[in-house]
Amino acid sequence: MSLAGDYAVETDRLTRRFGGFVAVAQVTLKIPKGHLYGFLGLNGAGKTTTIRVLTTLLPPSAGSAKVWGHDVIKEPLAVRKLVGLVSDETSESQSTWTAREYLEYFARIRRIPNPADAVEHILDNVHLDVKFRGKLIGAYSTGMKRRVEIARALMGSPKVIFLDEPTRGLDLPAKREIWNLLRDLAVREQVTTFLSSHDAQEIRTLCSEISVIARGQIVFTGATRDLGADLDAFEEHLIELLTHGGQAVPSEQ
Amino acid sequence: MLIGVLFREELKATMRGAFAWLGAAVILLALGAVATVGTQDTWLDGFGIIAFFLVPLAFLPFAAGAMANPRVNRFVESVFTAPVERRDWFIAKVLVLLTLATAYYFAVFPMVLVYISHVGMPLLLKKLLLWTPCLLVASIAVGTLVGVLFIGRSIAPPAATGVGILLAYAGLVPLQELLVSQGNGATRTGSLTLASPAVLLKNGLGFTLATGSIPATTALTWVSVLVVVIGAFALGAWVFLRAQGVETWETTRSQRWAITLGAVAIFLFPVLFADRNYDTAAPRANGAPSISGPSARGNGSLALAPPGGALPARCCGAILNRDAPIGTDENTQEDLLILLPVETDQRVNDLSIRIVGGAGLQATASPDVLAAAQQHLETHRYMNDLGPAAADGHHVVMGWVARVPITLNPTKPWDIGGNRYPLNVSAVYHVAGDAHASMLSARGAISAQVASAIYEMGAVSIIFPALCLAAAIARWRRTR
Repeated sequence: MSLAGDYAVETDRLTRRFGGFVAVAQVTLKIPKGHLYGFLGLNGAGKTTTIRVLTTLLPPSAGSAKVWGHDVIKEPLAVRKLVGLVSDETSESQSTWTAREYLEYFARIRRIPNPADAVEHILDNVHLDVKFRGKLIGAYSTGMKRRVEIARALMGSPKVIFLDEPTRGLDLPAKREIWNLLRDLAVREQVTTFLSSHDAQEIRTLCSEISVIARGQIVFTGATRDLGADLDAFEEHLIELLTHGGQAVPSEQ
Repeated sequence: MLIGVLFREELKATMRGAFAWLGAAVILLALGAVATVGTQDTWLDGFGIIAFFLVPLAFLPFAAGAMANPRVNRFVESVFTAPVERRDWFIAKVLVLLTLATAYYFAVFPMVLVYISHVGMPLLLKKLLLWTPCLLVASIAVGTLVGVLFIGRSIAPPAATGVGILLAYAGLVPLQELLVSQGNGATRTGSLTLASPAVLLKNGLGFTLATGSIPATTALTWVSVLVVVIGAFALGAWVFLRAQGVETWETTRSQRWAITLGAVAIFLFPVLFADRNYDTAAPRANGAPSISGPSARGNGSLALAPPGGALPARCCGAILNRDAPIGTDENTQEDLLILLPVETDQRVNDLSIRIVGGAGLQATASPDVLAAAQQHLETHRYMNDLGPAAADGHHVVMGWVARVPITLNPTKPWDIGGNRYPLNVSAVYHVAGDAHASMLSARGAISAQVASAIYEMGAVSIIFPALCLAAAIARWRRTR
């Protein structure tokens, strides 16, 4: 039996309702520190809602959630100090800012010393070309915008980074660049990465441990290889899980 | 203190909007144009209403949009996954709005200073300068509440609601003035107008824009203002912090009732309780003299023409130089034409003329010229029965006109433009064959304006728009 502090993310029967609709039902997760963890599900399965609860954006209706041992309800500021979130829209919304302005905003509100230097350093880390850093984000390609988002999420050296569909809308070369970047960062920054996606190839490529969520419930948790030795087998098992829920392959939780 | 950091960053962020600096430049330029053109007329009625009333109210939809927009574009997801208290962010946002309101208030000050330097501080300007900051705060309070109440993916609902409330608040002001003028300020409709903070503040500060009465008491009016302003801020903050998540409503049934009742109370309290005893005469807006019938046209007995010039084609209204105001504090040579109600087939003898300017108008004519007026009578043929009425009632067709060269110097202006000084003229004469002397007594008005004001106003009103435009261009060049 592990102590709560041993897990980067730990939920216990986490539930979130919107009126009568149950978006996340009794989700229990235990994600060890330092992993690049996959969270797979179809659109509307409850992935984003789970991430929003774990990042303190949404209060749970029932159950509990802890990040790095801190309760998301009781210690939201402590959790926020430890997490970074990459979603697919926020930097696009700030299209009239430059990458430097956008990241300096977050460097300052996170009280990072020498924000300008920190921004340049982090933009180096996500390989954003220097000549674009002072240009408006609205003029960036989707891949560049995603790099800016990842840079923002890494601001303040978080312990856990949540990536919600980080490659949505990207073409394959751009996807592969982001995958390489995520792998590289996971190793270099020693950050636990919680990668949510509906892209089986992405999850299988990047993550060794995954959970699969369908209709708000965890239907599988375990090693990626347990779902198949190759992509075809993996996808076949996955489709079965996603369409029949926990009946085909019961969740280990 | 994180509020200070958030305030600075949010303020910078606000000015990074696509049209932030450019928008500010355009708005200030438009205001400057109104201020400049307004020097040709009653400045406080034109520029004053727009700059001190309508633009401050426009902060209501602006505040609603500014509060709602970070949720619309999901920026809050980035902010509130950083170690930021929602309370601190909310306070910083409101402080940014108040700072922009303050900046606006000071942006119109150069124009005000030009005005004050020429005509001092009339009561209406004094009241407007108090009305504006109060309106700005009230607009931001209500706008903040509106912005908080809308959670969605479109800025249209909060912005449209803000504009709707702005139109209602603005529209209730002339309605209240009209109802008070008719003695209906305390009727149900009159009471409804008190829902507008603009009306409440006007009543509280004790001035009017057009009507002649103000409430005799103001205690409950001020209480109502506080209920609206503090109530809107408090309800907005409570909803944001206690009844909502970052992007979701998290209300219980009792909270929904509390929000509904709070909003209703903010609307109804002034309607039910604010003072509506319009029993006190409104103070005079400025030192303008009362001139009867200043807008009347036709059938006057006086006209003004350039030296040696003909009788104006549009003749003869009470305002003698409606289309060509003269400068204040400077001498202007004009010919005063006195239209005697005597046909030219009758001789006029012993003509004696007296000209007196009022309210600071120095109207002087050489004694020699006045003495020789008899010798310089001219004739004029009137068309369409527009000649002066003779003693027997008929309109003169071909009549005598006395031309008196005069020097006009309107002093002590009470407004920067649209000053109307009274001019009293009396003429005594004998008509041949009539044993008794005839007397013509006529009263007209001279329109005057501070001559240099248009240039000074134009110059100062370009300062801030130019700075904003420069900032917009600099940012555009830097980020492209």
